[in-house]
Amino acid sequence: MEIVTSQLANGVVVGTTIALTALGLTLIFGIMHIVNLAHGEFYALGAYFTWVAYSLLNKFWVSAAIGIVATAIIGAALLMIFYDKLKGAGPLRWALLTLGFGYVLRELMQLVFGTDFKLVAPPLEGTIPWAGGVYRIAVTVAGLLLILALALFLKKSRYGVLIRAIANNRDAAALVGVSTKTIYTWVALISAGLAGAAGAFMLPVTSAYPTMGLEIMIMAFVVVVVGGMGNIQGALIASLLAGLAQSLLTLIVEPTVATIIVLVAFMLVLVVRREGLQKLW
Amino acid sequence: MLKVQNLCAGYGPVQVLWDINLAVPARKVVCVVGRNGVGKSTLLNTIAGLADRRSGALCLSGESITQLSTAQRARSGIGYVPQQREICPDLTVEENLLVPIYALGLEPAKLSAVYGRFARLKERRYQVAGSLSGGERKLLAFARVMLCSPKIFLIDEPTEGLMPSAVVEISGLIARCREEGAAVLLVEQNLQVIEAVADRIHLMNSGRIELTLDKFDEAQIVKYLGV
Amino acid sequence: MVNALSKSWSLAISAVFLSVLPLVLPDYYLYLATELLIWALFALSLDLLLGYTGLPSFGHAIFFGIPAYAVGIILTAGYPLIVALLVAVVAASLTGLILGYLATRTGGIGYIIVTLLASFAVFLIAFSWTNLTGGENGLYISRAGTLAALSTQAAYAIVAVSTALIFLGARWLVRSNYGLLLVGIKTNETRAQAMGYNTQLYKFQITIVSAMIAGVAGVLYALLARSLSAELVGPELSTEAVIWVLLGGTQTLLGPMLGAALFILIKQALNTIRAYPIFLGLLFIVVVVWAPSGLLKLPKGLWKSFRRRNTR
Repeated sequence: MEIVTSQLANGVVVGTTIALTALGLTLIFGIMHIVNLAHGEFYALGAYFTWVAYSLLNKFWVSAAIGIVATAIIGAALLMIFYDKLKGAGPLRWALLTLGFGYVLRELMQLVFGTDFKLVAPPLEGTIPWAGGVYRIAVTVAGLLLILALALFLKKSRYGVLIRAIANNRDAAALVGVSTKTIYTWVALISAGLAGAAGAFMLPVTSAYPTMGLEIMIMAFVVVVVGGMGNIQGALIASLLAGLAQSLLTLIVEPTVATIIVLVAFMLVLVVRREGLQKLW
Repeated sequence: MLKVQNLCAGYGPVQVLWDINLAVPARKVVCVVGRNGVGKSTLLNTIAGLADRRSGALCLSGESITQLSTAQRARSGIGYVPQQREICPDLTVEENLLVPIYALGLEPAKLSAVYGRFARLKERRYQVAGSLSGGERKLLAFARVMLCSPKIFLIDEPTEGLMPSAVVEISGLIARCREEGAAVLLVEQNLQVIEAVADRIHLMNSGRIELTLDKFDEAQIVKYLGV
Repeated sequence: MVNALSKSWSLAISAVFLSVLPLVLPDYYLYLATELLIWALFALSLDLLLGYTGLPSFGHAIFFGIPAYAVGIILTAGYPLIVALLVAVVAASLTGLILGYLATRTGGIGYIIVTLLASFAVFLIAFSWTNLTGGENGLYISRAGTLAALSTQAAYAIVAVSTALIFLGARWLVRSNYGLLLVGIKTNETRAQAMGYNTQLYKFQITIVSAMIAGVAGVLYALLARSLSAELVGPELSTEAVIWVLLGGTQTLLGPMLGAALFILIKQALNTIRAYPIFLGLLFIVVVVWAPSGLLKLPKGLWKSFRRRNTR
């Protein structure tokens, strides 16, 4: 029985990680209409940057903050560098451009860090019966707090209002002086930062390795589509579902098979309900 | 105030406007009249930077705005109230008004000034803008643009589909804009409104200005409206 | 008129070029040319979806790899070639049906993501279902009864003739009213619907046609290369194919075919360099940013931006 509850707890951790990554994806999609195929690499960058900072400073939470900020800056720089050149380009060209970024980033990380696992000991020790490691719980709480902060930021803050205005009606926002490029830069920073946060938080759990981004990105895309593209609440719930399903399935089948089952199940949802799980809640 | 010289424009490969020349002085209302599809809205879109300029020049109080983005034009004094999609429908009324305040870094006190002027918007401040009636939507669109204190208003068929009482309210609003010193470039089909506010009328046909009237001339206008 | 003339000229030149190749090329290069023709055929099938109908499939490798695996699995199980081909046809139609249905359920960006995920799911299945596909080790088809049992020239001839016939068929299709309608759906689907066309049906049909052509390419590949791996259904090949089409210029049929050949040659040249995916990624970026309408039109685009800069 304890193995089931600890897998449940694990599922919540995985779900939170997917949610952080997926929210970045859904933000950039909902506001800039970009399918960012390099998003998974931002997650990996977050983990690697944190690892580098940790090996220099030996303080995990500070290193995580550094990792997140560095990822946000690099991610936003990549997304905005060709923004003017790609003005008016459809989703296809953006998808291919970010795919190209993905190739380059993944290979660079492999060149710089090698293919071995970069380990970091969890900053919080000890376990809680029925629930697993203390660090995992702390990370879940931190992740959910971050998501809450994002929701509040979008709802209440100055930039939040401007971001929602652009997402809702780009022209009407521009006509009263909202600079789309500035807002997009902010959105790109937040989006990459969220992926970086997920990567930084998972570093002590999964350690860092070059293909980690690819794996999480697939899941993130699944939940973004199923949760209703551009829909934050939907992505959050779908993420937790996917994380739980995957963790529980690994009790009975191989991890790859668990991934396949989750993938196929979610795609079936999409076939049955075109708008995904949106509007079910 | 606004000068349009030899303007050719359109959307992507499709050219809609040919060689448009016009000027809108301060404290004047210039009307553009023509049938649907002759390029009136495209003209306003081009001035606001939403359609693609092919050639020609746009000057606002002596300075060229041709290279500016839509947001930059809004900041330098172009206030555009489009016919459709003029507000953010999923945001509340108050949030819609906060957008220009935040974007231009205005004082929050401006909000209560707007509410003082448009009591109906204050009543509905927490309502989602998409649920407003047609007339209220227009008021909100005007209020948003007025917050940017534009030098010139571009207004696209503001009375289309509104109830007579709302039409009166809107034409009063246009007159107020003029009195407060702004220039107005108005696209309008409603003859009463044209007669009430227009100082000069450009008659458009298939992407060109064919005739300019300095006085209201119902016979000519009706010909171009093709009623 | 001049345009049509020059186009039929380019067709004649291509035909002559293709028929002279086996006479002049040594075996190794002729084999390479055969493989390039297969990839060109695959690119053509994607252009029908992506270029003509505006369906940005990021999972096109499914249509290539599944029939290829079908042939491989049946042949390895000891059945004759004709059974394998029949099964491949069934497999191609089934995948076409499923993804065609998906195409009608999602549009635009959703289609990109769903096809990409589908490709990834099929890749995982091919990779982990070791009993059926050989999994990580791949699937090897024995020589007898495949193209490899023939002379290099004969194999080339079979592939070249099938490619040429399918190309002509596709050319006829896109020039017919049907093809115009497909372009109409791409440019403005709402208008096509308003004109009374059932656009979903057309999207469904063209997906199946495209799946069939990609399937032919996949089967030819299986019979020629005789070694199949999960990459043949995976997202990497899927996305690369999109770049081939873009590189050659969408909505031209011939362009994507040249794009495929060019890309694979570049890739082979880079293959020896360490960390060549970096160059691959950079190539993606260059194509998307500077040559969005195809490398063949790149000089024109550069000239245009040069002139624009000077007139400003």
